[in-house]
Amino acid sequence: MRILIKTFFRCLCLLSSILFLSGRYCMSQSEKGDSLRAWKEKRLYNRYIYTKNPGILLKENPVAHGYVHLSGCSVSGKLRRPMEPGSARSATAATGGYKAIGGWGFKGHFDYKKSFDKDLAWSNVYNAYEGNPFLWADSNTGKWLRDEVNAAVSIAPPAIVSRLHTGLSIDYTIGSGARTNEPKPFYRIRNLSLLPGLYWQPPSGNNLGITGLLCFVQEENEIGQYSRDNVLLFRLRGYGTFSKSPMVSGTRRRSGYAAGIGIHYDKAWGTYRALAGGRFSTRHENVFEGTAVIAVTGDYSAYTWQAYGNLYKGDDTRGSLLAITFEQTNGYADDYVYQAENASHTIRNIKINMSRWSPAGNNMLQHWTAALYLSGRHLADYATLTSFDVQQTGAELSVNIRTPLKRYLVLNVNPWMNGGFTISDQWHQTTLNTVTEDLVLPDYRYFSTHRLQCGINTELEYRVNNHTIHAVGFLAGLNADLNSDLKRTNYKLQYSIYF
Amino acid sequence: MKHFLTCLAFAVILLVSCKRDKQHELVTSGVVVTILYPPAYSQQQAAGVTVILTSVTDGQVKTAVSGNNGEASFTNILPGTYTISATHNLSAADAEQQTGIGKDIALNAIQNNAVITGGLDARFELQLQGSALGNLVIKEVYYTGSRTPSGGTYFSDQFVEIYNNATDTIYLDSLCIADIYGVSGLINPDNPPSPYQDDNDHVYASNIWRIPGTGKDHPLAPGSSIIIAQDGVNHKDELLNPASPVDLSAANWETYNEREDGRDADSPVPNLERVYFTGGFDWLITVFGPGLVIFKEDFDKLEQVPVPGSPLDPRIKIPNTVVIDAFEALKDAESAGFKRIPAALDAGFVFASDTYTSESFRRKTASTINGRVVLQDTNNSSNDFEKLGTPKPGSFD
Repeated sequence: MRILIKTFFRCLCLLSSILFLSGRYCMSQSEKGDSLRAWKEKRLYNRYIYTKNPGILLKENPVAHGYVHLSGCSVSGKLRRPMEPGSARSATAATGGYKAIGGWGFKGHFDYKKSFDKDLAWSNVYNAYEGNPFLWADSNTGKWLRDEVNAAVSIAPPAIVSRLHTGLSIDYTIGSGARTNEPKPFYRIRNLSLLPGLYWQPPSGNNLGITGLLCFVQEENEIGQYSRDNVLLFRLRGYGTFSKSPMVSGTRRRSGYAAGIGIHYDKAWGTYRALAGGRFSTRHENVFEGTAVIAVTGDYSAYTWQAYGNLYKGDDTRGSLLAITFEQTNGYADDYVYQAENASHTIRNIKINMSRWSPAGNNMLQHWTAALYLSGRHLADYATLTSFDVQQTGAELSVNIRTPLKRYLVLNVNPWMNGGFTISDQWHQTTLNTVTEDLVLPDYRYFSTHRLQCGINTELEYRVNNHTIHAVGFLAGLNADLNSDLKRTNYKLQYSIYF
Repeated sequence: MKHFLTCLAFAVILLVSCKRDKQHELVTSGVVVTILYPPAYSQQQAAGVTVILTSVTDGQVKTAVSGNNGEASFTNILPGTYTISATHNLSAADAEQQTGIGKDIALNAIQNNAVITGGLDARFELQLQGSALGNLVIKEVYYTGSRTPSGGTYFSDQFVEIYNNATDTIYLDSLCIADIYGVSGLINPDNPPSPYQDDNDHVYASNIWRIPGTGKDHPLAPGSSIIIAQDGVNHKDELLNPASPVDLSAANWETYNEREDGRDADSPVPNLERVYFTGGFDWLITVFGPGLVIFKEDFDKLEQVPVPGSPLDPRIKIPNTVVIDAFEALKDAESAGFKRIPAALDAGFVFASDTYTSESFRRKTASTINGRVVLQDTNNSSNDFEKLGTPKPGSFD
C-alpha cells in the first residue's frame, strides 16, 4: 500500500509539473506554420529524435507546446504471433509538452493506458516477446485486463561550460495485468530508465554527443492465488525446452538491468546537415521463483548494436532526408537445469529511408517516403534441437499530404504500403513437443510468409486561434499474409488538443 | 575531428570490453554404463540387461540394453543429474549356470545422483544384486483424483493396494499404513520442504491407520493383494462422480474417519483402525504426490515429535528398521529437493502430469514364477513404478 501511495504521489507531482510547464505556453501557428508537425515528421532537422540525447534538446529549439491526447485502439485478426491476443482494445489518455524556461529545457510526457486483450494463451507475463525466453505460461486462452502508466521527463540545463551541454531523461513505467479466467495469472511491472547525455559544440562545427543508458527492470508474477482449482504451470525455458508442474499457487520474479552507451557526430555545411552515430547496450535478467525455496530458472543476456546516419537538406517546407539505420540484437538464455546456454536468438535489421517534401500548390505540402529494408531472425534451442532462420527483404512507400481546407481547417492524409518478401527460411527440429508445436513453429510461419501491409492515417486539425488546435485523427491498417487468407487489422481513433 | 576520433576509439574499446561472460553452450555427452553380476557369479559382464537413465531434473528417460561386454551405451545425453538403474531377471536355467542354484532370480542395481557434464563422455559401473523376493509391497497408489463431468475435482476415490510378493502367506494383522509429513514440492511459494529431511533413519507420519486383528485373522496368500480405499464405495455412482475411474465397493478396507459431524460416510467395507490422525474429514493423501510407508510396530513405542516452528499437531517418528515398504510421489520432476522418505527406504520418486488426472502408479512386474507375479522392488519408486492412465486395482493388465 505504501508503494502504491508513493507511486500515486509521484505520478501526481509529475503530471502537475508537466501541466504547469506546458499549460501557459503556446505555439505560434500562424507565423511558423506547422512547426510541431514538421518536427515530428522530421521535416525539421531533428537530432534529438535520432540520438535521444537530452543534452541536445535545447539546441534543437523545438516549439514550445503542450498536448492532450485521448485515443482508442483496436487490433484483431488471425495473422499474429502465438503469444499475441486474438484481439486487443485499448484506451489511452496522455498529456505532455515542451518549454524552455530561463535557459533550461523541459520536456515531459505522461500517459495512462487501459487494455483489454482477448483470446490470449501461453503468455502469463507482461510481454512474452520482450526477448527473455524464460516465461510462465499455461495453455488456457483468456481475457486479460491491463493498466499501465508511463511518465517521462527530459531536462536540459544551460551549458555547464562553454559549448558543453548536458541533459537527463527519466522514463518510468508501472503496470499490472491479470487474466480473468483460471488459474488467474497476474503480473506487475516497474521499469525505470535513466538516460544522461552530453553534447559538445566546438567552434570547428564538428559536434559530438555521448549518451548513456541505465535501466532497472522488475516484473513480479503470481498464479493460483485467486484460483479455485490447482494450476498446471508451464515454464518455458527457450524455444522448445520447457517443464510443467502442478501447484496451488506460485510466484515468479524477473529482475535485471540494462546499460548502454552511445556516441554521435554531426556537422552542417551549406544547406546540408549530416548526423552519424551508434549505440551499444547490454541487458541482463534473472528469473526465479518461490519464497521459501528460491528456485532460479535462468539468466537472460542480450546485446544490442545500433548504427545510424542521416543526410538532411532543406527546411520544413522543402527538403529531403536520407537515413540509414542498422540494428542487431543477440540474446542468450543460460538454463540453470543444464548449467549451460540452452537458447539464443539473433535479430538484425538494416533500413535505408529516403524522404522528400515540397509544396504542391494551393498551400498543400506533399511528403514522400520510400524505404528498403533487410531483416533477419534466427532462433535456436539446443536441448530440443529446434531452430529457425528467416531472412526478409521489403519496400515501403508512403506519402503525407497536408492541405488546408479553410483558414482554420487543415487535413493530413497519409496512406502507406509495405511489401515484405521472404528470401530464405529454414526450420529445423528433431521432435515436436507441445511448445514447439503451439509456439515456435507458428512463430516461424508468422515470420516466413510474404507480407503486405497497408493503411491510411488521417487527421483533421481545427485551429481555434493562434494558440490552440483541436485535432481528430483516424488510422486504419491491414497486415495480410500473401500466402493465405490470414490477416490482421488495426484501427485507432484519436482526439488531440495542442496548445 | 581529433576529439571525435578519440571518443570513437574510447567507445569502441568499451564495446569490445563488454564481452559476454557466458556459460558454455549446451553440448551433449556419451554415457557408457557397465553392468556386472554379483562377485560370486561365474560370469562378470552381464549381457542383455535393460539400463534406464532418468533425468532427475526433468524426468526424461532413455533406455539401452547391455551387450556381451556388459556395456550399455547412450548417446546425445544432456548434461544434468541422473538416476541410473538396471533390471535383469535370470531364469532358473540361467541362474543355475551362474550360481549353481536352479532358481529364478530378480537382479537390480541403481546409482543415484550420477552427474553428467556437457561435452565429457562419462562411464559408470553398476553391480547387480539379488532383490529380496518375498514380502509385502505397495503395489498401486492412486492419489491424483479425478475430474467430475462438469470439470470439478474429486478425490474420494483414492486407494492404495498392498501385495504379497513373498512365497508364503503373510498375516496382515497390525499392519500399519501411514502418510509422511511434508509438501510434495513448491506447491505454494512459501512452502518449505519437510523439516525432517536431515534424519535419514526415520520417517515422520502425519496419519496412521492399522489393520485390526489378533495375529492370524487376516492372511494374505502369495500373489494376492488388498485394497485400502479412502471410501469403499462405487465412485462411478451418479450421486458421486460418474467420471471416476474406479468402483471401490469391493475394496478390502476403507479409512473411515468417524466424526461427530458425520462428514465421512461409513460404507459396508470394513474399517481400518484410526491410530493417529491430523487430517480433516477424510484421509486425503495429497493429490500432488504423497509419501507412504507400510510398517509393523506397536504405536505406543513410537515417539511423537513436534513440527519445528509450527503449531501443528506432533508427527509420529517411525524408524526405518520397522518399515516394510515405501512409496514416494512428488509434484514434478524438479521437486527432488522435497523428498520426505530417506533414500535407504526409497531412493526415487514418481510424479503425475497434473492433479485430478486419474493417473495412477503401479509397481512393475519383475517376473512370473509358476503363475505367481513377482513385483519389482529395488527400493526406488522411480524405477519400480510405472504410470497408468487410469487406475487398475487388483490387476496386472
